[in-house]
Amino acid sequence: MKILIIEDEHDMAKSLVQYLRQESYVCEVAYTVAHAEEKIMLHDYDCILLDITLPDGNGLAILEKLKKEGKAEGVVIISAKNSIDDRIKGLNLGADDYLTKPFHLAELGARVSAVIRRKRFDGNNNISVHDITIDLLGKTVSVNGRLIELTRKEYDLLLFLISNKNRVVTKNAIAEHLSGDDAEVFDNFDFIYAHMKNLKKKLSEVSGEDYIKTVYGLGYKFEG
Amino acid sequence: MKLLNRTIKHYALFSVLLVLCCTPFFYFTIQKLFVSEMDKVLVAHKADFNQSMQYLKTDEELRLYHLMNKEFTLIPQYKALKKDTFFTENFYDSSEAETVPHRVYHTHVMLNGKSYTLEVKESLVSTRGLITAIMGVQAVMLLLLIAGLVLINRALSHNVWDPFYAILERLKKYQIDQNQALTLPHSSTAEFRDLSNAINQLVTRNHESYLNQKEFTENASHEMQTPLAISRAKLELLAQTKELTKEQADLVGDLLNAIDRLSRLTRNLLLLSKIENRQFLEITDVDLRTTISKCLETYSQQIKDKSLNVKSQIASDAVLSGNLTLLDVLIGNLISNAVRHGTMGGEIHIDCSNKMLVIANVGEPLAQSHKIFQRFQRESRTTQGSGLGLSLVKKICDISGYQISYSYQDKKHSFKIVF
Repeated sequence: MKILIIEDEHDMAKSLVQYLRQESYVCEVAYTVAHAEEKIMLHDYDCILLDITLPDGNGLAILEKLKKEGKAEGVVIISAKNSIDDRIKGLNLGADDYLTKPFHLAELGARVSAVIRRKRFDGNNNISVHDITIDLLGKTVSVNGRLIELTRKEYDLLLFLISNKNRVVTKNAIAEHLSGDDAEVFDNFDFIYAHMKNLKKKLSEVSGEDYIKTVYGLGYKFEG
Repeated sequence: MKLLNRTIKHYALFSVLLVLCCTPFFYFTIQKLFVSEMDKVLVAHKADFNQSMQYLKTDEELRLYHLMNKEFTLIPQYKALKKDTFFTENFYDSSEAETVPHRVYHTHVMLNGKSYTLEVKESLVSTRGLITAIMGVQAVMLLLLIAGLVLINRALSHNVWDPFYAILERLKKYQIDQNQALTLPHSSTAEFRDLSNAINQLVTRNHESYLNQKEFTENASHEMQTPLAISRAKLELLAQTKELTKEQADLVGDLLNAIDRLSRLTRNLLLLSKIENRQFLEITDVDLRTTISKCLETYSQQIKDKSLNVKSQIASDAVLSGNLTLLDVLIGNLISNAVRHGTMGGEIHIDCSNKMLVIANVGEPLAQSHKIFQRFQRESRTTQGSGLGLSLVKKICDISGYQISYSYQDKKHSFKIVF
């Protein structure tokens, strides 16, 4: 999987590369519009992370160009501007998602993998890890072929962890992911423990294995 | 009162006053003119009489003449009248069958060597009728004048004031957040052209400063969020490293918490300034029932954890025309506030219709309840809100024209918003 990161902040770009690389994505970075356009001309990418505010222009111009050339890349806009106008414009131009900085890397991981899944496996909407299979369309989870009942939050949680498998997902990222973008997140993470406890119990009852590891003080990790 | 009616009112008032003041003056002037004309007639009568007298030699002839000319009366006088006198007196008039005012003329005549006072009378009844007729015509004129004023002004309003109302209509529809230029109708009236130009300039300047302000908040947001994003990303990468000790993990966790708070704070501050800059103007019909249930769903876990008992009464017609984002923020903040500060196992009341919204929770009284809507006003540092939630609520109410009030009764904090 090839990902192009168009981001003018070098530090930010470096962090994104580092995080996504762990998921065996191949990442390339472009710091300017010109540079990005050159790369898009030469290569095909599975996903493009696009910052809107770039030193030599507006990132949305790249999006327009992609659309004009009929390229099939999935585009996730990552912008520090929480501007409704930009969001609407971006999505209208064919962007697949819009993420406002500062975001959690785990959230980005989940969005990127969702975009890639959508673009790559048309019709096949299952994710399988170990003996767990997630049906993305039906929003159901089965272990060893046996369907298990999960609440909506537990399902979201599992998908979030699997999208970031083998990486520590912080409680903060989980809280924000489960509460939604605009919700006032409580600093009390008890509700995550409750969801997590139930999820782990339901999975390990059927599977006999507990893939979700607690990383003390930080969060959780799905080992895949 | 409309501008037009205001001018008409003044014109009409002036006309009425003018007519009322002038009528007595007019009346007396005309009367005086008539009387003086009458006096001249009487003097002319006397000349007639004197002419006739040259042919009347005997008393018998005089008596006959007198019988034929009733207006003359001869009163024998021993002492000659020094001066001619005119006066008005009421006499019985057989033709009118009532007493009517007469103009009377007394003068001195010598007949056959005897001294007489000649009295000449003329009825004033016809002049009285004339004056009444003139006054009547005047009254009709006054009515016509006022009616004319109203009608002309009406007609003027349609022609002359049309551009003005057109400008007003366009201005009312104009919204600064929409990227449409304001086009004002052209008018041939210089004043309205000036008005259009002035408004255009004002609107252009306003639009520019609105865009500047908007750009500034967006840029400021960018500048603040970027370092935050980098810090958070770096910490999350640090969390991925395998060799973290428990102490280090705790440190990273604490730092992540602090960054979360900071990013929420900047987000809320930016939201507050966006609201202040009126960047949320798009109005739609918002179903409060959906908004509230969505919000309760968001905090369902926290509500369960605190065993809060939510009692909501939402009218089925609780639909409000407003900005969706703002109403989401408004209701979200009030509910999260109630959940956050509600006592364990307590109740939360939500009462909502299209007229008002009440959200109440059980809790300890506040020490400084008058500062409840101020920014960063918190009773304790233990509840970790951003300290901006309620000031956002207040700000949204202010710009949307809602009335918000806070009260504490029966151990319940309650926020009431009247839409």
